[in-house]
Amino acid sequence: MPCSHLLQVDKLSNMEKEKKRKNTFIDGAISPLFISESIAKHQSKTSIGAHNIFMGQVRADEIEGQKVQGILYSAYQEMAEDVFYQIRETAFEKFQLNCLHIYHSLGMVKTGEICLFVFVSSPHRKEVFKAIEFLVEEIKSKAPVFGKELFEDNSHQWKKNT
Amino acid sequence: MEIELKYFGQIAELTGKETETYTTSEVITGAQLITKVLEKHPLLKDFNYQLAVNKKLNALEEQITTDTECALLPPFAGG
Repeated sequence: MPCSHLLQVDKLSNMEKEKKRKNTFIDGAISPLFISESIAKHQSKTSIGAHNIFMGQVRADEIEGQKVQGILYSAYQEMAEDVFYQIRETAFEKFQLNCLHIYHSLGMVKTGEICLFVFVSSPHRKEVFKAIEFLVEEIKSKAPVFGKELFEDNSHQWKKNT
Repeated sequence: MEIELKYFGQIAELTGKETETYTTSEVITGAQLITKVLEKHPLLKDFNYQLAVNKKLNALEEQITTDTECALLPPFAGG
């Protein structure tokens, strides 16, 4: 049964499903406090036996002697929300999950800050190990999110996922 | 008819705009739209772009009219 604060998405009509879509994007970096509050919110859901979380952090890559200071994220938001919705639906079909949340930063995220937070919960651990890898790989390959890597000297280059 | 094409990321940087209008006399395919884009912006010829039509990829054979939502996307960089 999906996480209750997603409401009973599978029982809603398509139009209602549109309204119930989550907002995945957050302005700026995702804070450790936000992450711990997300964990706390799930403590009352006592059919959960295992959580798994993934955090993508901006790395201080060095390119031609210049270090990345941060990444400026932008997105084709309407399409990205459709893509995140599809990824979530697929994950609920593939894995036995109670709950699943995806958050991605928009705007400036400095080196060392978190830009992606994925959180899955299940009665059992095997499912969350598999689900988190599936979700992160899907997000990185399919979400129309773009990143401008900013260097110390104000130059930049565009990030490409591999 | 006028077709509005949105640009994102490095493509918006290279073209200098976030949207551009293309004029056609009839319905065109995604591939035909790409041809028009490359005529106007030859810089993009060797660029790794994807066309999204109504927010879906693999759109080269999709039919495009004034009401169709089109976007030219650079490589993805989420996470």
